[in-house]
Amino acid sequence: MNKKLLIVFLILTIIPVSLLGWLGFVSSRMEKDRALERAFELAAGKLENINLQIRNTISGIENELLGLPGISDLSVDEIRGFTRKNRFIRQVFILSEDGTLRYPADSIPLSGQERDFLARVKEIGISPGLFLINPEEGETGSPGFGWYTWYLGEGVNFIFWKMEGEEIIGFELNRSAVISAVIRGLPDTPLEKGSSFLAVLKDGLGRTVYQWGSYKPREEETAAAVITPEDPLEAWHIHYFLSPRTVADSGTGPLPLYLSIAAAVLGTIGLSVFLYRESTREVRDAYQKVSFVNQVSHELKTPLTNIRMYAELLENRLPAEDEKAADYLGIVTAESRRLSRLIANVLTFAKEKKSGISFNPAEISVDDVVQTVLNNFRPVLQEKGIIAELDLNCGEPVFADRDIIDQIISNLISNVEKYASSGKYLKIHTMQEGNTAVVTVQDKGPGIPRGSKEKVFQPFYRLSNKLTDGVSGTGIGLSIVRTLAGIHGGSAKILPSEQGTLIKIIFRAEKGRNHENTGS
Amino acid sequence: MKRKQLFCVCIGLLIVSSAFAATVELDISISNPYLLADQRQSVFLKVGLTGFEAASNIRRPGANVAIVLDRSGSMEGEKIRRAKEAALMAVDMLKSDDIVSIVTYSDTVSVLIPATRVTERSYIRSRIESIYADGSTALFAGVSKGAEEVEKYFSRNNVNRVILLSDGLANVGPDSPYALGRLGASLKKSGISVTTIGLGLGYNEDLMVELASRSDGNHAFVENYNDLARIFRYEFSDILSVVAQDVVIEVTCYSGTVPVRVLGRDAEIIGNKIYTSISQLYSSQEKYLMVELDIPPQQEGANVRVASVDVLYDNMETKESDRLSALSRVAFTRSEEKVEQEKDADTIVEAVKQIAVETKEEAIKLRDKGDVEKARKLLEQNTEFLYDQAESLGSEELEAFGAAASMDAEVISDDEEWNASRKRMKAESYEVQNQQNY
Repeated sequence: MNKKLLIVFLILTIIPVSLLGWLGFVSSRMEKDRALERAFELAAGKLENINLQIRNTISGIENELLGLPGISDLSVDEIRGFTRKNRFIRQVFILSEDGTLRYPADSIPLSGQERDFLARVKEIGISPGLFLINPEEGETGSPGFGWYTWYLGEGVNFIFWKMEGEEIIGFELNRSAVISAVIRGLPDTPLEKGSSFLAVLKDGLGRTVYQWGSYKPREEETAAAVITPEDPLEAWHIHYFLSPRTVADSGTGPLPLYLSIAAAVLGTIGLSVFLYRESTREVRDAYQKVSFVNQVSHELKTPLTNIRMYAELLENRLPAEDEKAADYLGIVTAESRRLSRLIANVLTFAKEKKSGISFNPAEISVDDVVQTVLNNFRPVLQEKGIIAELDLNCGEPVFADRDIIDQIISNLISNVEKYASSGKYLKIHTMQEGNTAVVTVQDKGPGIPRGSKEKVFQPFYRLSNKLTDGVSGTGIGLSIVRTLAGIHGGSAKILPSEQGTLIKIIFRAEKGRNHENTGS
Repeated sequence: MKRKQLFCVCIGLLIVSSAFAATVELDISISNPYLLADQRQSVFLKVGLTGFEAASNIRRPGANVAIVLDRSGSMEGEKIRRAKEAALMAVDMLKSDDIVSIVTYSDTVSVLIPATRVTERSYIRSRIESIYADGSTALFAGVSKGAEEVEKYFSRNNVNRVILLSDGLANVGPDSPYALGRLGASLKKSGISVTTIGLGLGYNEDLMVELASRSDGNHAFVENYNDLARIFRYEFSDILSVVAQDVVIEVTCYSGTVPVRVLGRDAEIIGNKIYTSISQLYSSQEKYLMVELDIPPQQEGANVRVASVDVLYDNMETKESDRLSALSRVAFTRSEEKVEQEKDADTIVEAVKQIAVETKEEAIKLRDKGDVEKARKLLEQNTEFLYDQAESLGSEELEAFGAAASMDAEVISDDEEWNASRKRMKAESYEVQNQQNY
């Protein structure tokens, strides 16, 4: 009987827990997406910073070159002098207004380096048009300086130019010096402290120039973010790789979520257990009651038997005219019988729970047993105005356990007396069907609702309504009836009935073959 | 100190700075102070600069050194252990107020010890001990970061140097000899030289020599890691014996003399002028500029000014800029005997060494192109040339060079040995060109 309850509670637990789990899963996925988003934002932010650092380096070079004294007014020797000193400048050139190179020019003796320069720039055909967007209009509003890059040899060549009057002063820069300066402006990678990213600076040809961070991306891994620096590194890219761990860790992470789900699950389970225990407490209490009564009952059985015996002996000795005494004695006998039944029920129930009830069949007449029991109940039935109607067809001797049959019938009649006395009617019908006996008990009481027809067979189940309220009872009667019928190879069930309750009991009753053994 | 016999007809030696303070010795000499009249002839002009002996009572200049260590995967094991040992030993050679930084590189660069005074020796020691090897070789970035550390405490009164140890090919970042050479050139302008130490047989000697040469640092080929500590000792002894820095040499030619080429060193020739610079001069050591001059014919008895030399440098002892000047003249005669008699053997020996090195470099280039036979022939010619000159000049040094050249001619056709031989030959060439002490 507890299985159903258990299932209900399991369902009560499993549904919310799995709902929570699903919610947890969904929100953890959402959290992961959010984390990924945050990671991308983080990477983009870092890249912005990196870009700023590179911009600073480039600005530094620009400022250094812009800060040089006016080149136009210097002698060639002076220009050569600071070319030798400046770490960024590889070659200076001066482009006059008419677009010709004033320096270096073939008109004066040139160094090998200057001749090399002329050979290099021959390819690009150096002219103001390379630097000024609109040379004719004199570039109003332009900053008057800028970058020009072209590819020759091993990579990008940088020219920084500025206007001096009508002339363009150009600085061909040492590429390695520029790259080195950019690298110096970027972070290093601490040796022992692992980091979860890798930033890679790549040149226009996709070659790694510099990288930092200790994360090792997979071969095919795409960067979390990519950025392109400004002039003159506009063909370059910075790739920012993030380890999956960082992606997961960014933000609060799933731990608080897991904790709250776990708490919710524990809470639900706790609540279910509490509810389950609450709901079964009545049952447990009843069991405890029975267990106590069981122990007490054993002690009560012997004195009660003596009381009954002497009361019955006394009844036979009473003078016939003393009606009042006979009445009193009848009550004593009836009440002690009731008490015996109660005790028998408790003991049966306890036995069933413990080890099982012994089945001792003997050759008896079922109708005899019914008669005897009914006789015992007569005073009570009379008192409540219940008219008993008998239709007994089981007089033939059969193998059955008298005590069990007795107890079944007693319980059924007792129930009618207790709960169906309002119908003032009791009908007991017996009949033999092959090797089984069928006993039905019909009353005209309030009946049992359709939904409770099975539940009434559960121990301690009591129909709670106005009729049963206030009626004493243990709630184990029908449960015992069914158990005993089962032990007797039969069953007990409530049949549909127009009025009141109709209970049908079936039990094995093989026809007797040995008449001499009756009574054993 | 190596004493020079000066056969020059005339040498004007002008010392501008204080008479008491030690100064660099400028010594210019011409291979043939007497020339045959009425002929266009080539001579070699040697501009020698010898560092004065560092006074023991004066504090030596401070060192500002970045040790840049390759910790790529190939360094694993004994190599990295020896490199760490060498670095530890180098730190021990420094004074407490010297500045050191340690940079390591593999795929990425780690500034293990940012530029710091050598006071916390145990800290520096433990940091060096923590180095381990793995990954690739970001050489360019390693040198850049090393230079950045040196620049933090840059001072003209310090010896500012990056010491690069590598055993492998640069494979992250710029990786060509040209690119590293440009980096070296830029660093030289900033007053930083890079000494490159190639360890084992896996590195690119062209790149390492180029970087050292353009930045005017030293270069060494260390085939066996057992020699690493010794080389570090040489290098640091060198650093600690610097007496002059930022030496700018300007040569002006007169009397129609044309500078044809400069042997061994980077120099600019513009018209009749030659410009070059030497980053450091060491105590009692000579470095020189060797120029081939083309002198137009003169009448017998003529005595003409062929070149004047101006030198400007930072004296590390006085912390002042010193200026030196000298003048070189040539006399013309009809006597071949006189010409032969007056020739400057020491200068010719040095010129022959430089020429032999150029020939050797030429042979290496031929060998690189796969023309082993031609390369071998060239080296054999070189051997002959050196032996001839050794005999005519009575120079044991050239005789030894001849022997070395003949060995080179043998090994150049040995494919198995070529990798090691090439590294050794490049290092030897550079040693001669740079007048390196070790």
